[in-house]
Amino acid sequence: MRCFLTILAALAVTAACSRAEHTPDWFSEIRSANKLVLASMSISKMATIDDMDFSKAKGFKQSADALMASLKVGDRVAAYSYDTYLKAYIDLSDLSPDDVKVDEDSKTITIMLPPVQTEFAGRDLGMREEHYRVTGLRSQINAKERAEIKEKMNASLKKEVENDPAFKNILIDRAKKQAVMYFENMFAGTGYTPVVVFKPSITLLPS
Amino acid sequence: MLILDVAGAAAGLFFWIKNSETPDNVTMRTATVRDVQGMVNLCSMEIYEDVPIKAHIGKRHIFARQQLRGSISFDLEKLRVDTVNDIVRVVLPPEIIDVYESTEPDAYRVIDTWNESFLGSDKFTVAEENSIKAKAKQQWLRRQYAKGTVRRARKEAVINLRDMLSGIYKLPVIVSDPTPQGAYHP
Repeated sequence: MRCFLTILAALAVTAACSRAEHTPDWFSEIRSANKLVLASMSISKMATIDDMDFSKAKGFKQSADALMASLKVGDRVAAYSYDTYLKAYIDLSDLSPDDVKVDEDSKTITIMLPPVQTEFAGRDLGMREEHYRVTGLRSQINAKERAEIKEKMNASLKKEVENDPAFKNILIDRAKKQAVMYFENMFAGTGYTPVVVFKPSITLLPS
Repeated sequence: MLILDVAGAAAGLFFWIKNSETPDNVTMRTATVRDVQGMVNLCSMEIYEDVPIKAHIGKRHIFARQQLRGSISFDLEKLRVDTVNDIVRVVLPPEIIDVYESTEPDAYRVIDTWNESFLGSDKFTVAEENSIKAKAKQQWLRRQYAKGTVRRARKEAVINLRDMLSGIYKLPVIVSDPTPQGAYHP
């Protein structure tokens, strides 16, 4: 009896521990910011789910998956997409009164703006289902699986943006044009011509 | 006895096939730029928050964790500015609250889905899941007003805008806020 109770207690402890492992940590933070957001880019990512074709399978795992898929009755094909947003901004806390110089002789105002930076603003909350066809004995695609697919799409997109500077360059160009337009409008009719200059970004080298 | 064995094996095979689907067979398409927009928005607050999503449609339930990233900003192209006696007067525009799912790893995790009925389906369609997320977003937005986050963001924006404009105009700047609790306060 004692032995049975000990085993039962041990099982209860194990179950409690494994539950604690899966309990997510709830994080919350509110940060003050002082950013001038000048441009935003939406980037679309699409992924498809389909059975592995045996002729295209590479390696043992893919071949095994393809073989498994050929045994299944029915099809399971779907395509999902969503957008991710990249934004370009300048940090206004790096802007000081000395960065604005007025030349009364030439009637120009030179504004030295901090360097344009980019960051991911986030991604769509939901997903778009571009195609869905599940037939025969195949299981429907569930919420957990979609979340896993979204996770993979996110990782892939971030890698693409990181490896291809064109994404950021297009956005930074647009942000710079927007800043020039804004300050030109701000001083329109004042008799002064604004000259917008962007400070170069500082890169710290490893010591 | 043999019939029972065969039936059991068939049922086992059926459930194994049904449950052996993995998201490994996913093909990624190259990311494409949909749109690039210019703007001049002053962002005074950023919010990073994990939110639990607990919802049900009929007897089907879902419990998930979503990492949100929000920001509160102000469209400076809509600023009302006038100058009286060498004092620049500015009115703070309505707030823009953006909220997205974070791009950090594991930003959306479905922890559990279940059905109250025995052997009932626990599947949610994309449309159902999207509408659950949209409702959760509305709740989150209401919370930002109730908690005073929007009020705080507007207060900070007044200071940030005053500092920025006084540096540029080289004149004293007064920024007034007609709706300190938020322009869309429910």
